[in-house]
Amino acid sequence: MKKLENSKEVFENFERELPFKVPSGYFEDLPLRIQSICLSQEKERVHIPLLQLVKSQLALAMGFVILAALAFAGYYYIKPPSQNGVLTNDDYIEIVEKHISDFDEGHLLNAVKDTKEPHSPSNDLADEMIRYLLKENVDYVTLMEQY
Amino acid sequence: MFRNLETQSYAFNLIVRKYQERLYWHIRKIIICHDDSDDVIQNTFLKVWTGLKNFREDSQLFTWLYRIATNEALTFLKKKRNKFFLPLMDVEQQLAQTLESGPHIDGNEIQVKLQKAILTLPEKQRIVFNMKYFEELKYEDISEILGTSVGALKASFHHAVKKIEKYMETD
Repeated sequence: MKKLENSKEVFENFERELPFKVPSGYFEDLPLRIQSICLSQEKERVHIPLLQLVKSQLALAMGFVILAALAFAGYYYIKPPSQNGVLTNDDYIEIVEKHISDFDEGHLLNAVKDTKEPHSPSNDLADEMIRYLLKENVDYVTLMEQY
Repeated sequence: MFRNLETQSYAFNLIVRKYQERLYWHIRKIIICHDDSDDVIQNTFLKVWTGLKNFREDSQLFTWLYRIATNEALTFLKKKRNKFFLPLMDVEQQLAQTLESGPHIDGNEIQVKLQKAILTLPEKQRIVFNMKYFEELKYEDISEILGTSVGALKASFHHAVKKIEKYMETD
């Protein structure tokens, strides 16, 4: 390419023409094509069913429902067997059924032994009092009247 | 005329006929390839058609049309980059290749070289240069189209001219 000795001059005197061309008759056809595209879009928009319009919103709502269901299921799967820290017989059965493979006979025996209340002198006194009341045939109503 | 349902279609047709060439060449300078520019001009007018009812006359019609066309062209290039995971330079190189050997390119060497020089500019500078140099738009109008201050546009054009001069000096 011929060296541009004075680029500024070339730049300033350069014809503001583009090296692009279009197929013949392009600008004669373009308005008709655009008009037909716009009309077909208009028709499509008119015939869009209601379901199509709310499709994205429905999908979003469904997502939330699934998420809530998963959270609910997950919570009940991992939550402690009983509320307030009080275990019922059903809870014990459930725990044993779920984790039966984790225990052997020795564990169960130890657990039973651990839960047995320790011997205390106050228990002996209470037993003695009960025996006395039974022996003297003092009933509950008489005691209530007395005190 | 735009808001009246009966005359809307007629008004739209008038707009297409009046502005199709200006908008097409504006898009073509950004996209380079004719087929892609054809897609973009169709999308532009489709947007114009759907937005015509809401067109607020506080801006000029032609700046509104230019804004839609510019946004559509830039969106097209962005999609092209994302589609092929191409970094900025690769798309510009692809466009330069189209300038050399693509269909519907017909110009002398200097015209092609000038277009190649413009392709080396950052996207926004390229658009500003095209609008000022080829389309001879006023800075105020370009400012309204691109949402950039007149001062920034002047600086952008000045930098673009310097870079192009430098490019044109090289063989």
